[in-house]
Amino acid sequence: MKDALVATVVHDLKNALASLTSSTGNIAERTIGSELECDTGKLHATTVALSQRLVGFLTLYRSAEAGLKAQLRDNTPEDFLREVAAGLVLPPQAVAIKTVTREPSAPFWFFDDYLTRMALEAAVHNALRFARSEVILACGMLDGYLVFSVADDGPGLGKCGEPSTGLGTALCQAIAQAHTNGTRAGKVVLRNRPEGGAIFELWLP
Amino acid sequence: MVIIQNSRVSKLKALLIDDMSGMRANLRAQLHQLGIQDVAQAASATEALKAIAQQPAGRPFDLVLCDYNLGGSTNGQQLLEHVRSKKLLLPATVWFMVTAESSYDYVATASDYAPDDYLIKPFTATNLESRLMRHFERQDALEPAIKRMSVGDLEGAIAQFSKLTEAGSKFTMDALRLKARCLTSLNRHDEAKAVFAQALSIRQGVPWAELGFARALRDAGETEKAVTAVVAISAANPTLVGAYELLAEIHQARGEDAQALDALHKAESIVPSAKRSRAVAETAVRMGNMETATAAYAKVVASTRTSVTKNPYDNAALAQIYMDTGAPDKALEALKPVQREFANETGFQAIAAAVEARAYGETGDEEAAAAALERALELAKNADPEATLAVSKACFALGKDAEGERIITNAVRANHEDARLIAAAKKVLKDAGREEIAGRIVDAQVQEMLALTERALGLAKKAQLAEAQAIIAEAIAGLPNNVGVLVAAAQINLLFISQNGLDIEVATRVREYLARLDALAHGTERVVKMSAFFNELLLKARAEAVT
Repeated sequence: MKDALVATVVHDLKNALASLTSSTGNIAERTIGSELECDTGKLHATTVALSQRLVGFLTLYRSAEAGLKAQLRDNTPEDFLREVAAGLVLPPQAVAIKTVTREPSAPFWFFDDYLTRMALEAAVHNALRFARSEVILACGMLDGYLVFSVADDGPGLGKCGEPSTGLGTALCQAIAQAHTNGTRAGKVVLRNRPEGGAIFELWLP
Repeated sequence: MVIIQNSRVSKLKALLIDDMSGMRANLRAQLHQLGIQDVAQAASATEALKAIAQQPAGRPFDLVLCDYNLGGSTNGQQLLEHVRSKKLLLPATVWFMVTAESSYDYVATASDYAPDDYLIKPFTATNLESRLMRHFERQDALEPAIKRMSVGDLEGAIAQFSKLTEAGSKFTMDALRLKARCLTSLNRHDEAKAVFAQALSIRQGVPWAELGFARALRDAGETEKAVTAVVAISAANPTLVGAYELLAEIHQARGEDAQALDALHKAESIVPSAKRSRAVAETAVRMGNMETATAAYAKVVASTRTSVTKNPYDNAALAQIYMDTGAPDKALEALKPVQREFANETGFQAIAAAVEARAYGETGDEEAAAAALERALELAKNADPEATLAVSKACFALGKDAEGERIITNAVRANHEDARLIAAAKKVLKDAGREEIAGRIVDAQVQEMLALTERALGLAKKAQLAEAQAIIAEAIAGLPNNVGVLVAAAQINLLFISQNGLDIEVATRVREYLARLDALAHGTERVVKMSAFFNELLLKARAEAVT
């Protein structure tokens, strides 16, 4: 009974947030060029991020309950990365987002585009908290894996005092592990970049 | 955020289907953001069908955004299956299924008529635009090959698909899937197997490639290997409905109804649908398992009661089972909900009247029984053979043996190659103690048509092709599904093309004969050779047209 109640409440919240997000989007669009532009842009980005976090939480919850199943389809990594970048809703003062395709690349690869997008969006939002001037979204092939990465030029891992729930990392790990190819499974790598800043990598077999 | 409108997207005419008015408003706002102004809305499957029926011929819908959960008894997938199977929309109309994340796994499993893409809520206008652009890019890349497929130039299509895969296109997997489909249509099952294997070498475990490989094994006559493969696929993908359906097909073809029923039950339990329950019911009827058949038909009738997929023949089948199991009251009850709505469906009305005649006969109301039988006989004049059998059964039940014999004779004579109908007719006659009639009628008709076929082949040998074509056409009309007659008809018409050049009408006829042969004598050497020869002739004609 308790579970059913929680599920209903969360479902209602999710729908209400989706509706709110649509409204804030309309307001943000209508106020472009006005003195409210910055505030409405921020409002919209916040509701979008909130909505994404709730969906991420639900996905993680379901993954703990019944496991996460990746619906593998052939996607073009480069196109997909561009789509993810284009679909990001960022606050007006956010740093620039750059997309890079590293060689060797693959014309297509099998992954769940919905889950992968969710992981990358969570990683970008995290990177935005620390980036000084830019966030780089990249893809390329490495050791037989497709590797998506999100890099920032912030202080690097463990060098900032901002608290984190760890929800984003747990979600990305669940998503990575849902991707398998034969005996190989996906993985998440978090490390510091030699040139400074942190990098998040999603390895998909 | 400002979206730069893409002219290809903004010109689209869209139909939104969602039972929640708030969601429709959101979707409409997103379409407006993309510049799409021509938007129709529907709150249910029924409204959607109305909108589709009213679309002007010159300006049909280009895009359908349909929520999976439509609140009523028809979901988005059932609506899609109905619309696609009845060809109510153009093949090029894009159908995006909108789903909640929680039901995506479930929805994505049901892939008989797969939508062009899935959109998982919540999504933005930019997400929608990206999906549309991706769809158009794929459509553009595959279009030259698909055009060839649509005009029957399968060899040409195969060559195009091969070019795409050799170039390492990002649509390689689509190209392989479609190439395998062409090869299957041409009965080149070993080559189809190789293409599926190629797809699996790119990525092991791709469900469509694994299922395709298993199907190609079955089509190539390697049935045991096919069964082993399908069992392995379903073990690795327990929710892949297609695997159980293929297994059921294989068992049915071998006459293993019990195993087929088991596989159909599994498919139905994973993704319940009226179609799957109906398949369970039909197999159970064949097996004489009336308890399962009754339960399955009752489920179909209940689940489609307010749905666009409602089919009165389900009620008719259920009513007949009730009659056969001694429950006339339930039989009449089963017919009631659809009798008025389908007043113009002659076949159904004929069965309904026949069931009424039997039911009143059993309850002793002779006057009502006679009136119902009279109505049934009148309707049977324009009804399908299945309905005629039901009427003849009523005749026998009410002691009108001569009338029953007369109409069943006509039904059998006109359809003596339909094994299912003959089996059903034999059962009716057996129950009435007149089984010997069926064999007699079939034999006479077959002998007459085979004599015509011999005459046509004799004329072809003497190079009198036009006369041979006319006579074989008569034999085909009389025996439309006889392998011997179809082979002769294909041979005569192929000979005509090889001597006189490509004639579209004759080529269309050959294609139809070969397709029927493919269904009747799948993978036999003679049919495969004729298909290959036909393709050679087409290639030659194309080469000549180019030079």
